[in-house]
Amino acid sequence: MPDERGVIDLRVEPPPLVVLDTSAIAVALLEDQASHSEYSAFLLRAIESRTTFAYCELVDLELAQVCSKRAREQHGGDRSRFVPEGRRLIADVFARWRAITSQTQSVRMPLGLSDIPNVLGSPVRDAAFGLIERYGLDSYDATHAATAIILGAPLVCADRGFAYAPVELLTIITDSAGVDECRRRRARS
Amino acid sequence: MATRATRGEDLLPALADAAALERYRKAVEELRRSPDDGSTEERVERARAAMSGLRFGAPLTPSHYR
Repeated sequence: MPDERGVIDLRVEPPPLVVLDTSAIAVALLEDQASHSEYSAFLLRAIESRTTFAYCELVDLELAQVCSKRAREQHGGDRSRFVPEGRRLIADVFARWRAITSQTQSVRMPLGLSDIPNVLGSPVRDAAFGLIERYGLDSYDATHAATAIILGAPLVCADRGFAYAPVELLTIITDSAGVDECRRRRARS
Repeated sequence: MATRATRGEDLLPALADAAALERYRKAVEELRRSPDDGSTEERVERARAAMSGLRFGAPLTPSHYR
């Protein structure tokens, strides 16, 4: 599978360690999304080959937001209806997400590290800051990209915005529809 | 990895502190959780079930999660 401009098709053989972005996780969980079959197939192959899944703790908040926003859209902003529906969706999605991460070795990476003894500061936070400052990434994208860069692992993502992270630092694994677009973005930047 | 990190220092100053990076990676190693019991086939089937049956009803966009 070619690694042109640091962008790899999801059909690649899963490496020993990958970082998962919220966009990839959400598409893998939601079977009516366009690239669902590609992401779910990759994760299944990764579990089969004992790949370690790493993800930034920001994933928790973003997955919850997906559920809340969807419930809000469905109920026209009626808080008395969308909040309970959002809560129900969150419970369903997180049960499924836990069911995926618990089938292989996994690690949820804290952003601040204050809860890890003997480790001061956060290389992830510093790297994210640098990606915003030097390459213009949005803060949330920068955080996931920094997680992968610090671990030296590829980032599995459906979001094309990650293509703006420098090719020398970040390898992207994405769906077949996104490969060319990500390469074009990197060629222009 | 060493080559990438060395080149990365110029691109991202956060990569310049090799000691901090090493401490962080060791800490991350300790946070790793082991998989549930079961054969590979059983674990794949549980993950497959987790990724089946949930529909969003609309195209997911970055505005949903960012």
